[in-house]
Amino acid sequence: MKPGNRHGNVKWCQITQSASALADERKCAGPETERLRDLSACPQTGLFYYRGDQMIKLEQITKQFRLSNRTLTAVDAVDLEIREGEIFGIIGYSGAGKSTLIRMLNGLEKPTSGNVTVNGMKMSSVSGADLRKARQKVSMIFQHFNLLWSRTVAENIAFPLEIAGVKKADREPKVRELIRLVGLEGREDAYPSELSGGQKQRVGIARALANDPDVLLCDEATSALDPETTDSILDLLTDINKRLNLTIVLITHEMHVIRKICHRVAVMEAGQVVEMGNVLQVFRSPQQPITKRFVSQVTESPDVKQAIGQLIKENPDGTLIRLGFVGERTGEPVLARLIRTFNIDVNILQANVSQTHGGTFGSIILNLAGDESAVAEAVEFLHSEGVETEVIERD
Amino acid sequence: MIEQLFPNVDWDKMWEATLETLYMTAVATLFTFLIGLVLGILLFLTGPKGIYQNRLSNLITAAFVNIFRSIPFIILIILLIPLTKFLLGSIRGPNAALPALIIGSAPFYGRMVQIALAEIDKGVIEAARSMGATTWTIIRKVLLPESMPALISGITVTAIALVGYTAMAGIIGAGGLGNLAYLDGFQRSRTDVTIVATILILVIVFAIQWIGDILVKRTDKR
Repeated sequence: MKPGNRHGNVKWCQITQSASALADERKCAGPETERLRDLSACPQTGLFYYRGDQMIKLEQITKQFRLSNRTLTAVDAVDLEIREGEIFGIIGYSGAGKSTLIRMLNGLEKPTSGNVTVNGMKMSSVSGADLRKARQKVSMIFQHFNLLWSRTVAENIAFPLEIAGVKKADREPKVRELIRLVGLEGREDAYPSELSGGQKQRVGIARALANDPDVLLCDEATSALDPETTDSILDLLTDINKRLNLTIVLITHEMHVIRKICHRVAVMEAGQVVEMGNVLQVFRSPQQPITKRFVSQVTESPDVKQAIGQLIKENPDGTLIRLGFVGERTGEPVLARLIRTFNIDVNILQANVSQTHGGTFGSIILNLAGDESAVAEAVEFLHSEGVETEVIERD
Repeated sequence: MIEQLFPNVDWDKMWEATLETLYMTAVATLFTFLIGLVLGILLFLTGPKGIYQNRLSNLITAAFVNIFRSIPFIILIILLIPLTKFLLGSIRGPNAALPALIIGSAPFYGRMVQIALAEIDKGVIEAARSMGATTWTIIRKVLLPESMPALISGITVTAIALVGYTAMAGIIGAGGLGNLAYLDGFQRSRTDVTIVATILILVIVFAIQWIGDILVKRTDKR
């Protein structure tokens, strides 16, 4: 099926970071789709792109902390642009600077140099009452929830409304609505100590949404939760993103989180963004070593790696190749055709499929045994089919 | 029966002295609570890592607290005689004990408040800041409610110490059970008076502890 048939006039292109590319994309998207906020997949590349107005812009952000004997550069000349309605993930190990970076988006930290603009407001230079006002529209949820234990669920959610000066009579219906939104009906009068971790984070989310923010910042919001609860919280965030067209910026050290809900991702290492792009693209072809490590968190568990090592030993003959499939390609019977067309033995050593926010990608590791030229032709065939193919070296 | 056990006790006088002790303790505790809160919050906010880091005001507050916490109470009463005279026009009676009681215990309680505030999870304060709260809102709606059990158990300990201080103040003429025990019991060798006064002081102390424990339990939702 040709993309044009299915999607009318919409042309496809992929997100890039430069301003000129953004302009190109706007042109390419055409006026009729200019205001579309949905992520759309390009069937040819399997990539997603995003068309929304700019919400957050970081220009050459640097943050240094003066320690007793040296200066620590936590964030080093970061440029970033996040669009309205996007779920943008920042991944890095602890100490990479992501926590400092996200705190500059709501002015909890001031950059040493550079500009932070959120929805037209220069967060890096406002202060006092203006900053406090701006913060009501850039809310935050936390790894350890940071609820007031002295207040009930309903009172915790009402807290930001009190800060914003909302009258009591107007607070009550809003709190009820938020409790319904996060699925905590019946727990209004419970204290945080009576709630599970997942429920606490739901309160945190409801509290963060109280003043109808433009941006939600998630500071390792699921890192203290078990895998199942993590997924339910991520589902809630996705739901909120869709329903309220809320821009979400999250930091995490878990690639699983990025894979599950993010549209785009930035990888941070030593204060710098070392890689950035569409999630599916980053998963398909990670460039930096650190990105590869993060991707392998999801695609290769340590068990699998060990198993592959074992399989390499057990299959001393033949060529090991890794195939990457993205988007629509995951459903195509490329392998069947490979086996039918070429006179070689194909042994599947490992295979997996992962679901990202907008599409699937998978990888298969094959052992091709047979005539050398036939194997070479087979690899060529896979290339020509548009399957990402990588020959695994034996060491 | 009671007449035989405590032949020398004048019950009207004993009741009056009890009320004086209660009065001194209650008023001194109230002012100690208020002044101690202000001192403790100042120490906390201006201290290292506080919202309003300020070395100078932190240093001044800390010096004030440390000096008045260190002076033995009995000496503090004597040192404060001119101030008491100036404020109240007299150095006798329950009111005359109040300045010394408050100045002696407020710095002590201020340190307790500072410690209680330091125990609050920093993340909760950060959360309030991220919502755009003013410092005043943070004090009123985060710092005080979140540290309430510690503030209450602190003021309970302080109030009990104040009962002891009133007895000491009584010896130099401030009235109350201490005064009675000293003048009537000790100086006139009426041991039964001393014993009754001691029992009443114990009752007051237990009552304060009991009320404090109930309030702590009621405010602590952790």
